[in-house]
Amino acid sequence: MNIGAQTIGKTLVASPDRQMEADSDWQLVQRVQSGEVTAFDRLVLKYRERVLGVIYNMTSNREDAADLAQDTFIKAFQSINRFQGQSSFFTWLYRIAVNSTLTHLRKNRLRSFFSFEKIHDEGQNAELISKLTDKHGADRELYVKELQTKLNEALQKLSIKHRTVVTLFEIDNLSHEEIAEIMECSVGTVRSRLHYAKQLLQAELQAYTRA
Amino acid sequence: MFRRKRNTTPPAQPRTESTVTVEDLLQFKKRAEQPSPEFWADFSHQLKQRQIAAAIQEKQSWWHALPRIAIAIPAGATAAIAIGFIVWRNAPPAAAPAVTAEQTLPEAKVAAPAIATLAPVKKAPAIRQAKVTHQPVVVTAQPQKPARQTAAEAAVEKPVAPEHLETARTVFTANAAPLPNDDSPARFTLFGAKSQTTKTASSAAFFSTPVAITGELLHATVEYATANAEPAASVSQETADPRRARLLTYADNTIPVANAATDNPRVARLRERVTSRFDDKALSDSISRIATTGDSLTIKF
Repeated sequence: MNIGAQTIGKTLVASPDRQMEADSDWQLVQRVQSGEVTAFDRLVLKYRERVLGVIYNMTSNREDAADLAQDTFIKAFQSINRFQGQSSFFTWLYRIAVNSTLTHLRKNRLRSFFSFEKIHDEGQNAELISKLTDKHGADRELYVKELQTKLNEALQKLSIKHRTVVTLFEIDNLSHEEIAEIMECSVGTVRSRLHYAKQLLQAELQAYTRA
Repeated sequence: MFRRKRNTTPPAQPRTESTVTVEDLLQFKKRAEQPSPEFWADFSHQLKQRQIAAAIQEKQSWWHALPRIAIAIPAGATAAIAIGFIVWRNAPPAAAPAVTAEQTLPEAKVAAPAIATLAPVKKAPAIRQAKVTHQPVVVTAQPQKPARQTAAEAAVEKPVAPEHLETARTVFTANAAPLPNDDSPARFTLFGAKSQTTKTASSAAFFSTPVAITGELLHATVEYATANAEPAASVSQETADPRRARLLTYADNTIPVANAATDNPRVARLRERVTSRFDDKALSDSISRIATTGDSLTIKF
């Protein structure tokens, strides 16, 4: 058993899937550390959507999110030799992403612009949109745009830390323990922040949640 | 009395098929806002470029900056020295020697041959100041440009316009009174009479009019007779002070009468008294009574 899997077993209550994932990541990291740069491309391909998703939901700006995601991977690449497997690679990568985003948000607190991704309203999304538009009897396309704006505005009204917790838990489906490790705080703090953030979101989005 | 805290959060709704929760909305956001494949192509391309750039930059260690440091440090030091030198050159001297004229008479003091033009205070540098004391008349002047230039030097270098001399003459005529038992018609005493005349001759008059005291006194071959007159200083002391020597030269050139009477001990005493007015300490004391604020000039009597 390698070091990475051992430490993850100690620090996190990881599911078997997570454990396997962490093992395969650790192998890739070791290959990068031994000089195989192409192994890092596989790590990028594996995590780029999740990293971008976290950053995008924290910033609500697709250009900033793209830049910050690239920065995250470059930082990870530059310091991968210092990664000793004390935590799982994805936790380490997420921590870089979250810290970079927090720094960016604090720097640009006074100037924040929305730049949304294009909405894909197929499959499950189409069902939800139909449900909402049937209730309100609104034009579908306009309604979707309005919903997107309201969702992003509601997220941006949260504090940076609350927004991060909600994003990691609700959108990225991380556990409380993983979030606590990424944000370097206690699990209780994560739960508290999550509860408070959900209350605020509920209040902000009650026009869409109530029948 | 306790009031029950109102629950601000909406009550939890039982989940039905038609109910939409916050979690549903956030999941919808996650699924719906996905970048297009073109975006990922650009993303990969840009990331590759930045990765290469970062790898190149990473190889540059601290010693690569040594040549730049080696240039920057001497350049900065040279600039600092140059600025310091310029500042030092342009800085005024710390203590410019002052010039004072002490009146021979105990009550009458006329300092500074005021020939140095007392220009408007606004334009004058801090060094130029003038003073009128409560006692007789003390007018101290320092020249404008060179800080170390004495009033006597200024007097030598700047001839006074005739009209100015005339005004000065008028002023001092007003201040002059014949001494008792004075048989000489040209005998005057300069005194302030506790400065009645000084008060009447306002400071404005003094400052607007250059006063040629030395010339006036010597030209009229005035003899100052006072009971407590100081004994004449030795000639060797006089000539030891270059400033006094210059003044005497000026007086000799200006007044042929005085020149002719060099043998006269009274004239010698007079010369000594006149030159003794240009004393540095007295001038600095009188300067301290002058204050300039904006356009106004304050003189303490």
